[in-house]
Amino acid sequence: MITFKFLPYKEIEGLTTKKRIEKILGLVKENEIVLLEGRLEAEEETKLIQRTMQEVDDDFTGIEISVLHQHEVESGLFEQVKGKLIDLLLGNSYGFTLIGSAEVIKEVEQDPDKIEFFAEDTG
Amino acid sequence: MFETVKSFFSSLFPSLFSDQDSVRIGLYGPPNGGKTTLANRISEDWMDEEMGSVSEIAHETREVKVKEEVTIEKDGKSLSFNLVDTPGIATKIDYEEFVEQGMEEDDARSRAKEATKGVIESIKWLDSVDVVIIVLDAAVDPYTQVNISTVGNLEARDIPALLVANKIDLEEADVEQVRSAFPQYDVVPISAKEGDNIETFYQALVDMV
Repeated sequence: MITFKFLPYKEIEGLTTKKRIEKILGLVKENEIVLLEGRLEAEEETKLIQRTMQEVDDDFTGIEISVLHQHEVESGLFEQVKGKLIDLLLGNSYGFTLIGSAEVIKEVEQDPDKIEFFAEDTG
Repeated sequence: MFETVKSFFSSLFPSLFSDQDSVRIGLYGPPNGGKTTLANRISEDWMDEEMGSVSEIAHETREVKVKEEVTIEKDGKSLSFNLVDTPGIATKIDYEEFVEQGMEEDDARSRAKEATKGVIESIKWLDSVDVVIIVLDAAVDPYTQVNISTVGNLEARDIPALLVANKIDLEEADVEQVRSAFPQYDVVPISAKEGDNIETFYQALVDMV
């Protein structure tokens, strides 16, 4: 059975980067697909990748991660202003991040408007 | 011998070996984008020697390699730098994929283990480069979270970057797709393997640094 864990941003908001990564990776290694409200900082994402690489073994080959944060690539003036306002008001709690074990999420296709992924039941 | 020992320790502790006078230009991107092919192209064009081996199987480069004192001259301008070729950044590494591509299981396991260390090392080196050349395979969807995250890191650290859409010699190459994924960059289309548009790339590099 494929299971999702919705993680509200407030559950990680007060945590240090290390604790955030531990929480997310802990869930992912239990084969949960984590749907995080908002997103991590870019530097936190690379720290998550670093930590993931330290954990790779025969049973855990890594993660798939995808962020939906629409205004990121919009280049028009109105979109840029809208994006800045959203960042100002909501910070990193805007958007969604999908993270799952590479054993469960087999493929992710991402564009600025949507995320499509193909999961496999490992249970 | 000294150079080998220095290279080994500098790959482990880049900040200890920082040379304030040398600009460090890092080649970054996902596996199999053509970073080492571009490193070889630069090294052969300006130093008459190769920098590393290339392969169709991903993660051929599994440790950071530095070529010191490369000098490019273009239209009266000259640029001297240390070129840093990094292993591709990935979120997953499965030895079974190497086996499927024809490797023996033991070699595949060993390659996977080294590749995970390579990714960690690449990310560590972000603290030690002054300029980055992002190398993307123009024939592959560029809009991946690893690429977005790499670009986000460069922006957060104020590291100037040049984005190259490599492998334009391939029929499937789609430079516009790269441009639309990262509109904040001027994209330079090249084929590092064939040398297509390489002079434009050198000009862009000299102009940027």
